[in-house]
Amino acid sequence: MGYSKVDTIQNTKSNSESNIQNQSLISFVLFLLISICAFTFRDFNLFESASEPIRQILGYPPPAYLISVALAVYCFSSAILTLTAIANDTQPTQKWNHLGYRSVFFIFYCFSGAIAANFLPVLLVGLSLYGLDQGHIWLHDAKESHQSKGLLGKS
Amino acid sequence: MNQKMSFRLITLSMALMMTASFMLCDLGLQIAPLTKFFSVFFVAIIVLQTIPAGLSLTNKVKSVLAERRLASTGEILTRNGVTDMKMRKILIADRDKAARKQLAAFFENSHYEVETTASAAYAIAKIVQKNEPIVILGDSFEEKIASVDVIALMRKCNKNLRIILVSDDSSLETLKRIREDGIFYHALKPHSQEDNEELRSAVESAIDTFHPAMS
Repeated sequence: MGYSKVDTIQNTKSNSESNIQNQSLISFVLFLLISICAFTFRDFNLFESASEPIRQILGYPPPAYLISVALAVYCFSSAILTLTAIANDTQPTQKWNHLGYRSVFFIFYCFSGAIAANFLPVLLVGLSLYGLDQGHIWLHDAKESHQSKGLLGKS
Repeated sequence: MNQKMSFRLITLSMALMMTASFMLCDLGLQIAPLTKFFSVFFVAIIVLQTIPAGLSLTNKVKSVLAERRLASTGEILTRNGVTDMKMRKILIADRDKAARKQLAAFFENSHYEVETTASAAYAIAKIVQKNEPIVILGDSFEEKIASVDVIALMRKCNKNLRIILVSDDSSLETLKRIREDGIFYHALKPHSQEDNEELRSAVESAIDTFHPAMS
């Protein structure tokens, strides 16, 4: 009886964890696809290619160095959040908003016409943060499975 | 889940609408709409990423410093004299985050080493590892398992465990089952300082009874 209850708990946990891992991988693949698109159109200036009325509505794009500052702030903040989550051994959660943040940097650089020069930093930041996220999921999974093995052994 | 999702969608659409109106309205600041959008994006990064990161880093540094301070002290004085730190460890398992935090803060202020979790599975794993001599259980968990079932499992894992159930469910059937399973104390959910003191007395009594078992 004890075994079946522990087993059910374990199944529920592993299902939610594999769900998070799948979502993280989907998000990673989507980011790679967006990066490939950005690389293909790296010489394309979105702002200059827009028509005059649209350009007047949008106004001037932000300078590239400000976007780089935002990228650096985002990179450090996300890394700290993930590292503290690893240190506290909190349950990993899937955050789709990160895909949005990482893609919007490409769009801003595209508007500024500086995507060719800044493609690599955005890609590297994105990849390293996905790496950290995956590391968090794997570490948490390893710890959980280690604990549940001990638990099943005892019951 | 659906409610959470729809709440997120509503929040997102409201944020987008506010951003769009901010971009299009003329504030007399001579800032282009695209730059306004960028500033909204930057502020979003600061509010949603940088501030939580700063707070969690500060909390982590604080907890590490507190652990070091406790480790260097080694022992803590209780009203009965010197007690090993291991005996002042409490695990609080409850799905209700606010109640969990409130109890944790109360016991941390009373110099207990507190660990909290919303997961019954995690709590049971900790008990199997013999890391937690005293457990305060709430009435619901992440896994949607009843606290009476959790108590039975916990007692099977560790016979010396002192379980304190904090639940407003005082039906005769529940009381009978938890008494059969051998819980240490059953308290109603604390709503005042007096209720907290009652819980602390229960924990102190659990420590007192635990002392011979540990030594």
